[in-house]
Amino acid sequence: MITWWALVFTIPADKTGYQKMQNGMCIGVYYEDGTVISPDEKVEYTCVNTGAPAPSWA
Amino acid sequence: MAANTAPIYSIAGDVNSVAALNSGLVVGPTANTAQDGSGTLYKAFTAGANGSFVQKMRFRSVVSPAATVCRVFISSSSTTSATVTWLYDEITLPALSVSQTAASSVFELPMNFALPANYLLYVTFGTSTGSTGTGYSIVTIAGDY
Repeated sequence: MITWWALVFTIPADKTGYQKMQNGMCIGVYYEDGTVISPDEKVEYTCVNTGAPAPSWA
Repeated sequence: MAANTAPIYSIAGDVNSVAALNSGLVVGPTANTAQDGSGTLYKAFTAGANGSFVQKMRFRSVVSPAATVCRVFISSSSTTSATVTWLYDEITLPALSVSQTAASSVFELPMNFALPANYLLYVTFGTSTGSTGTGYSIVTIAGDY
């Protein structure tokens, strides 16, 4: 089952996003607009909601 | 002639935790993907004034964290940066479900090295483990020289 976790970024600042989860595994991290974040990219974020509604672009 | 031909032993045990050094925080909800020591790192251990022998780090899940990777850094300064903070090791931490009738899995990262005086160990996580309070308790087992 796919679930979406809402994220607040501190790097880069003032951005939000989503962590896409399946069976306890992260299968993607995205900015709010749906831009996927590469594992190479330096980001810092905190989960603020593990029961967020799926984004419109999902 | 070598300066020290006899083995030395720690004089006192030194056990510390990420929670104790970060106001009781359960770490994991905040992810930091940097591998160069930049961004927010959580202090796990500080070596004593004469250095410390660090035996291991032990990872125990709190609530039901999602899978992630924990990165362990060695830093020569409490002001972490890419120049003084170095990625030392990583450990894979799987998704776990809390149980009140069975022990959850525990993970250990063997270290077994002498940490110079006042050097520090820090940790970060590659992805978020969940909401506030869902993550890991990390304890470092060491002895001070």
